[in-house]
Amino acid sequence: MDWEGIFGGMSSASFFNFSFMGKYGGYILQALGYTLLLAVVSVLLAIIPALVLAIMRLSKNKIVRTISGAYIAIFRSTPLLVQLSIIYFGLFGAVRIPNTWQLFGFIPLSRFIPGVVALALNSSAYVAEIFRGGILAVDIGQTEAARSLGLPAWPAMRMVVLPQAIKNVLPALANEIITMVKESSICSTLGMAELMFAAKTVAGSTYITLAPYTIVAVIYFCINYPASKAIEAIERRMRRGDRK
Amino acid sequence: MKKLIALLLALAMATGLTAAFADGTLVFGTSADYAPFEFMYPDENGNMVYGGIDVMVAQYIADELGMELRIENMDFNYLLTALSMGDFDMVLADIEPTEDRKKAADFSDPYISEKPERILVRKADAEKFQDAATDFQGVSVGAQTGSTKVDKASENLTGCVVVPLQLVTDLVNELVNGKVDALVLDGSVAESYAAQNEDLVIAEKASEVFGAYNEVAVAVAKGDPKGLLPGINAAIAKMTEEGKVEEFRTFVATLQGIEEVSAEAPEGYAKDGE
Repeated sequence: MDWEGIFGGMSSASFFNFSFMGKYGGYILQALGYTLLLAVVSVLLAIIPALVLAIMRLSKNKIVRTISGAYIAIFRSTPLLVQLSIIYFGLFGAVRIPNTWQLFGFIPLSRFIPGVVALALNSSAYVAEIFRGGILAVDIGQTEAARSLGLPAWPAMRMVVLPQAIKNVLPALANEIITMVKESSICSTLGMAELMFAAKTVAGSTYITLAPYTIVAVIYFCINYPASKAIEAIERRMRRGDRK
Repeated sequence: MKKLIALLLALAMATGLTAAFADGTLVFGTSADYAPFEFMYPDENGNMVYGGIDVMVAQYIADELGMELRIENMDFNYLLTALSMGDFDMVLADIEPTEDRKKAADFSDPYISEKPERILVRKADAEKFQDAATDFQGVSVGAQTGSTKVDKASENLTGCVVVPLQLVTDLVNELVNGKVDALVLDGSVAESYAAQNEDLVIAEKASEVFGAYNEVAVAVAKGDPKGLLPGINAAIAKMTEEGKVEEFRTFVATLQGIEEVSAEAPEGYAKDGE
């Protein structure tokens, strides 16, 4: 496609001057891969800690409850950008990752790992709340029935409550990935070459200052809107088995 | 216990701080959203590579030191922080060594006498902004945060209201959309935007307030722990003597399609992106 020919005549401050796409289209696609990887990996990493946090949060032990509560409170009450900066320069200032290690040849791990860790730590606070809601939504009668059949507390949780809770939270979990796809744009400030970073780079390199943002907005939308529709469909499908 | 500590130390050495220098790689940090100094473009195979005047200077320095250059890209505001943490060996990002910055890093001799700041305005307003002392009363002037431009704008354009933003591209958007009425940018950057965008012009007369030139230097970590400065300075001296910077400038302009001159790529340059 002759992007240069079609859009070349437009003002470089136009929202629709896509003349850079011929040269930078491949780069933007690669950036999309980076974004998706950041989002999916960080939510997957967040699941186990989140489950632990949620169960701690529901514990009878006050200290355990407070620890989990404090973690969730801290990560939900401070901006992600602040957390990212502190984790990148603080934690990963002490723990060095050799900056020659690369994933798929274009993702330097020395950036990717701090980014994923920050997003996952942040995400685990939110996912923990999702899990807690999911566990609480399971009828207390289920626990009572399990306990009266002689199951101790933890097996009752693990074998009766959690399977039902996980079914409850799957749609919310998928929504968290969508949120992460958008939130991960914050990693652009630390040089992770995801979509927002690609937009900034293209704008700074071509002097076409607005159209790159239009492109990435369209890409974000085309990823997230169908994904959220798909989740809705899955949610409907899963509700079919529920007793009316 | 001692063995354990020794092992940990060895591990830290192997994975961390000194590795970059020891293996003959020179890690160069920059913020590649600042054409014509540093930016990214696709090479003939479609791979994104780094280009720009600073990138070519860095390559020259690496060649002179007999090291291999590796480029790391990061937001301008974080560059000197990451440098002091040992993420990079040096930073070239059109940095003027101001007093404040000298507290955070050590600087080489200047490698470019850069054109001074220029005031970029909308074409329709070109007549309005003639005199830096009188015409900027109450006018919103955009400048890049973390750069010297914020201070220079408020010092030189009497009565102006400075609007600091992180990215030059965002500043240009603000100007085009009328959110600010003028921008203070580096001379080369302002000229590039004026050349690329027909609605924007440089307020030449008012810009004279910024003097004749600015000096741009290479930053290394405070105290020069890796002992790079003497080598860098020697390379800069040689480069200046050979008049290389002008050659780089012309080549970069050709690369961006600003000038029609067809210059051959100076050997080994502009292809060494990540």
